[in-house]
Amino acid sequence: MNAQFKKGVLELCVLCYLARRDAYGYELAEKISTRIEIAEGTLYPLLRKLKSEGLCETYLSDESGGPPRKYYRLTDKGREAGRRLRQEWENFTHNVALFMEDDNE
Amino acid sequence: MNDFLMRLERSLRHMDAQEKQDILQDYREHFEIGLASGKTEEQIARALGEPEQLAKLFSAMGAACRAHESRGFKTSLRMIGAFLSFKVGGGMLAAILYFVCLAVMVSLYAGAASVALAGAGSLAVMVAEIVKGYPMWAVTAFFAALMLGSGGVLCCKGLALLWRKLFGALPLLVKRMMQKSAGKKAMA
Repeated sequence: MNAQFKKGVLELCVLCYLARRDAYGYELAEKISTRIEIAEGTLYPLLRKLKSEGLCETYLSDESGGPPRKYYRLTDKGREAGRRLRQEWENFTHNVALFMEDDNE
Repeated sequence: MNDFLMRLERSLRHMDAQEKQDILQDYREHFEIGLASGKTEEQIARALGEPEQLAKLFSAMGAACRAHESRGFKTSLRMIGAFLSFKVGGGMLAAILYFVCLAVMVSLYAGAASVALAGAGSLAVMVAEIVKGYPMWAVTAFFAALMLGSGGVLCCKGLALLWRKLFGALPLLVKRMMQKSAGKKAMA
């Protein structure tokens, strides 16, 4: 898939997933890569960026059994950013879809 | 440590030691969970992507974060180093921009310093004239010293301010460009 599409979409996917539940890196990578073909490694730079921008924070937990894992949790700011990004995405895809329908007429 | 982690560590060599360990730990955890769920090291590494490309993403983002935290000349220098060594598109342009700014600032400083130095010279002349017993010349030299000295010092102060502003703004200016091109490369 087009690299430019993926770059923007990855952030949206992460924000949306974390809005539903906290997750560790591997879990995010697995969940996203089942639907979108990405280099899973690019998730970690993104998570680091989100953290440095104050959109998410991390904590260690062993609730899934085994050694403690690093979990990511959205901050209020992150939640808001995710909502905004999602809104933009929906407007965008809606308009693109309308445009393509016009094309068929 | 497996091949992926070793390559990643090598590519992150310019990074702060603590930050590097944090990053490596994230990938180590990723491998551990993957292995525990029955995947092979090769499968996991293949899905992760090229460690060298990932390192570029981290560097571009790290430099951008540092530009937010500590802006200044040292940060600027470190950024140039990072950008050049990662051969991210635009790195060369950023470096040229920096060095032009640096050259201009250095020559301005040299100018201000020589004015201040002339002030110090006048002071020496004043002392010499006092010793030789020409009070009028001494007074003239005193005023020259006062003017040149304070002028030079004021110029230096002003330049220091300009320096801070300039090298404070530049990292932020370059940041977006770098992030963009680094991101594009890693995703491609």
